[in-house]
Amino acid sequence: MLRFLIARLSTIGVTLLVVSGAIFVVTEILPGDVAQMMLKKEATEERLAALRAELNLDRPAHVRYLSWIGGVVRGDFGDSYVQKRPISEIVPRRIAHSLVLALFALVLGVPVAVAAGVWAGVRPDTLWDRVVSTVGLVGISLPEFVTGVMLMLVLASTLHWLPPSSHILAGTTPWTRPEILVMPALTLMGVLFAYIMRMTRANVMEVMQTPYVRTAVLKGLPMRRVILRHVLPNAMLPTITIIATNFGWMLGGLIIVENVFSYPGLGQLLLRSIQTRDVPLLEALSLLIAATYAFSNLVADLAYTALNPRIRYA
Amino acid sequence: MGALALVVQRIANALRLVLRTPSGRIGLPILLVHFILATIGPWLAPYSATEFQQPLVETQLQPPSWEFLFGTDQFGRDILSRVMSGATTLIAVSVSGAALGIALGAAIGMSSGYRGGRIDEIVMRVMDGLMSFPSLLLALLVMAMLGNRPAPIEALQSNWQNILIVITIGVVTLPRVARVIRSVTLSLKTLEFVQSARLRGEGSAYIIFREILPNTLPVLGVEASVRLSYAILTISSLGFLGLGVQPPSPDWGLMLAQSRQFLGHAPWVAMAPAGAIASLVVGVNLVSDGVKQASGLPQEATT
Amino acid sequence: MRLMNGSARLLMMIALVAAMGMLIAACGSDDEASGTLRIGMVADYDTLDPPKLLGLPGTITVEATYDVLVMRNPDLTLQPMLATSWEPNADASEWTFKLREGVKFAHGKEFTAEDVIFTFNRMFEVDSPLASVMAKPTDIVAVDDYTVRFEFGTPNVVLLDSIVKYHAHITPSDVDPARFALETFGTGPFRMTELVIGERAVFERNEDYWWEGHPLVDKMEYIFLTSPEARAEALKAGTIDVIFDLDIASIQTIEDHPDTKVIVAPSGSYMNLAMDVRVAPFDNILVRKALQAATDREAILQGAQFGRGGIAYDHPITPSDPVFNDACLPPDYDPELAKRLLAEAGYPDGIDVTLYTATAGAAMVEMATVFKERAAPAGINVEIVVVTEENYWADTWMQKPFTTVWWGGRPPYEGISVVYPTGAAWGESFYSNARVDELLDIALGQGELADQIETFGELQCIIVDEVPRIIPVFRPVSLGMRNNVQGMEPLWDGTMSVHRVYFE
Repeated sequence: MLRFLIARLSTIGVTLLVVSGAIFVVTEILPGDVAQMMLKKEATEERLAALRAELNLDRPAHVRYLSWIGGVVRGDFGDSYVQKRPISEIVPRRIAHSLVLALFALVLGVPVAVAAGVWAGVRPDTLWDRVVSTVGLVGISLPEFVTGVMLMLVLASTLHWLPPSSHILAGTTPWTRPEILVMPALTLMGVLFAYIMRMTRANVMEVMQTPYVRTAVLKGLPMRRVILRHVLPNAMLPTITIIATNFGWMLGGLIIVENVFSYPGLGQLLLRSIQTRDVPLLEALSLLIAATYAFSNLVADLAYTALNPRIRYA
Repeated sequence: MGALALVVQRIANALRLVLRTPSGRIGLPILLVHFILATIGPWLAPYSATEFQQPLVETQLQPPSWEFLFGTDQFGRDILSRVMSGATTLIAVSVSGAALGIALGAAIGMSSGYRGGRIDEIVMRVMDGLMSFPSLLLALLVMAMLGNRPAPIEALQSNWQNILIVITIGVVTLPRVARVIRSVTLSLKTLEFVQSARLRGEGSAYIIFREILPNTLPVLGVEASVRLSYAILTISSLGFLGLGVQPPSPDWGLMLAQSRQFLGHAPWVAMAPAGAIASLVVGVNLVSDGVKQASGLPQEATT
Repeated sequence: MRLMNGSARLLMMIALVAAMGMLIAACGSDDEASGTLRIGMVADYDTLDPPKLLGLPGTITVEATYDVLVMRNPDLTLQPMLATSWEPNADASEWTFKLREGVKFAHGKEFTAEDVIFTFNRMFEVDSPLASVMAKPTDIVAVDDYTVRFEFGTPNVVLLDSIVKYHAHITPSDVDPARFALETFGTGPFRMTELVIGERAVFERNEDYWWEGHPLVDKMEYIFLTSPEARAEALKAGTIDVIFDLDIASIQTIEDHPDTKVIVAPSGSYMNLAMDVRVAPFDNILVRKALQAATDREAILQGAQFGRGGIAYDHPITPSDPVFNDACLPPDYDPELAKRLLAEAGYPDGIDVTLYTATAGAAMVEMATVFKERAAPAGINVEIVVVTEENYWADTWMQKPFTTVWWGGRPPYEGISVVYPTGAAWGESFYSNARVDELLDIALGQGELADQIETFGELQCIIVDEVPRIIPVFRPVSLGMRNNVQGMEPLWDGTMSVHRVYFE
């Protein structure tokens, strides 16, 4: 177990190193002279030279890469070009916002998705199963911006149940007005909901065919107990993996969702940093996302192995 | 040539099998309609996709009617015609992007898996690195990196934006395909027929193309259908975020983005492009389900 | 049967989640009349340094936190602010301002003549856009601590037009000017307490404000929302109180909603296409004339502005202005004429141009879309590139040769002198014409309408004939607001005053 962990962690380390190098190269290739862009019309030769020196742009690329990585290791990501503040001040609040949204989506969606999947899987090829499967297919197929715009049209523009924009007012947190989370969370959950449901359904169908479940049913155990004790634990396993492996993917969904609903999270910040060529911020966010992705995959594997014995036990 | 004929025959067989599955029976016709629209849609469309219907005062933001089945937009353009014309570029670009990624990914996956050793190790780390970004983020990064640059050759200029998107989709698709094909290759490598080919003294190129490639086809088919649906989603997301095609192209994502300001009093502007994207991806996903069922591979959700 | 039991439980669970959602939705419906004015606007941030102001959020922030010497009210009357009175000498070559006493800047410094001198000198030092509009004083003299005299040497009848502008907000003389970009130090009605770029700015009432009883609200928040529909929907839902300024496409939906209203300001604000006349093909006057003839002003007015606003004639003077010259108008939309002009210019097979635009206020993308479509029959192939609205003014405008622009309304002298003179800071077309420079100098000393009509008449003819810019439409400046917001008025120059706003 320990050896496995060390091996995985070192793999992650190597991957992140590759990623950080790639990000650095990419931002080097990004069009536009950074100093020129920051000074705009005030760009005289002396000012450009001074700013380049201040930003260390006059030093060779590998030196800058090393000093950047050194800073990152110490938790210093540099200053945002656009906001002119340390990135370590800007990002944590955004992370918190996105995390709240993602968790809200999971709490809202996972139980329902699992329940629907179990229900469909226990009785395959019934009307309910067809409904669930169709919903699942449509869920996977609808891009977040379609779902988001449609929800906005129905729940906000027509029914006026929910606020159409999820901006956060000064001095408040997302929890002050949790209603702003509902539509972004529903949108974010759409695709994941479909995955989890389809996976659960497929697994439940499989588990239902295993000898021990059949035996349990034949023994006359109540159906509810069979499902809760034998089917669900086994069917949950892939679900956990899916949630964890899709966490990184959810970050991609956040880019769209947060921009549709004007929610000030990581995704919005990321898109802006790309649009405004805010290179240090972009580097920090990309690395952060790659790390999140790598670690959530690790967690998925660990959870899988940790839960595995229960299969044999059951 | 022989290999190509084999591939074509395999694909024809596969399609027949797919059509036998329930998902395939619904999905293939949907896809067919979209592909027909993509090829002849612009000619079938009742109006031009970009032309304003004059006078603007009377044609601006008209609700659906017999004259304009899906209504008109802010510029008095027929939304039905725009949706019909939008399929061409989207499908052409997403199919080429996915194809590029699959071809490169399969080539890298097969050779890396077959060669093994240090190179394989390095290649796979790079693929892991690429895969640690959500595909949309990776696409945004590639677009930002390549965008705002003139085409290297004058002749490409008019289509440059589309070529950029194809490259972007290729880059996003590549690592996921490479990974899957590599693992298939690893298991094929140990099988008898590959070993005997090697003992016969065949070169690696021959073995990869004649022995391994044909046997990865079922997996490749599944991958192709899944990757195509992701390509469509990613491209229309880019359009929605304003990083893809430029107005006044009848791009569905862009149309939907621009329709948002009329949600309150002209919701029909949003309906048609939303429906078009949804039905296309539903079609692709149904076919993808069908392919999985027909191929007999486990029906895992792949991401 | 037991399974049914399970499914019933599941149904309950789903119902519960749904109910929770509704409950949450029901809780947060009313948070009005809190004394906090929330203004939604575009997220285009650049600087807060008064003489360098560029985008709307920065300008409105400065207007809330600084004061000018004199303010021009929406009804065009002049309101004494930091200057209590002013007087020109006989030929208007010297102007004397009496300053308000006992006024303090945000950091505690007392406001005196040295701050006025510092502000105006710095304006010319940093080459503020206003520096190309305002004649440069030969000297600015502190007569005493509360009296300041501007000396020009030659007559200057339009000085007050410059004094009222947002670039002329008075900055303190004892602060490092580098700090002006991100902080505010003014004597204004509000103090900025928080600035999160791209998200919001928060203001609190200045309790020591010299204007007794003003401002009328305790707190103010600017909320930067990137898309027009997000702003419109937020206003309808009541999560913001005001949209400044309101996107034309949203006017209808704000008018239709029972809780919101639209105020349309009289304004000379306009949208235009700027061409860099130093760069091919725009250096060729025939190409510019071809683009002018291929501009369908009626279609732009209807397609981009839903018929709101009015037709403009390639110069910034409104048809209702007494100095408007109807003898020099651009040709009507005529693709055939445009084709001939292009052929004459050496482009018999048509021409390709790239037009940069963004959603940074006004219906610029829409104008570009209409322009492209209507110019096509003339063989003009326009490729539109939409760039992001953040930093549009800093990174694209005046950097790319062909861009869309919108401008706030200005009186005739200022409207022309801010763009057309040689070397103007905002000379977006990089245009230069000795006669234009000369005529503007003449206008500076002309107090009589008859003289002005002659001078501005000639200016209009030159500008229309040489087409450094295409100005197809005047745009309505409108504010969307909740019904309970009162006293919020857009100013003539396309900005707004927050001094008199209150909740009903």
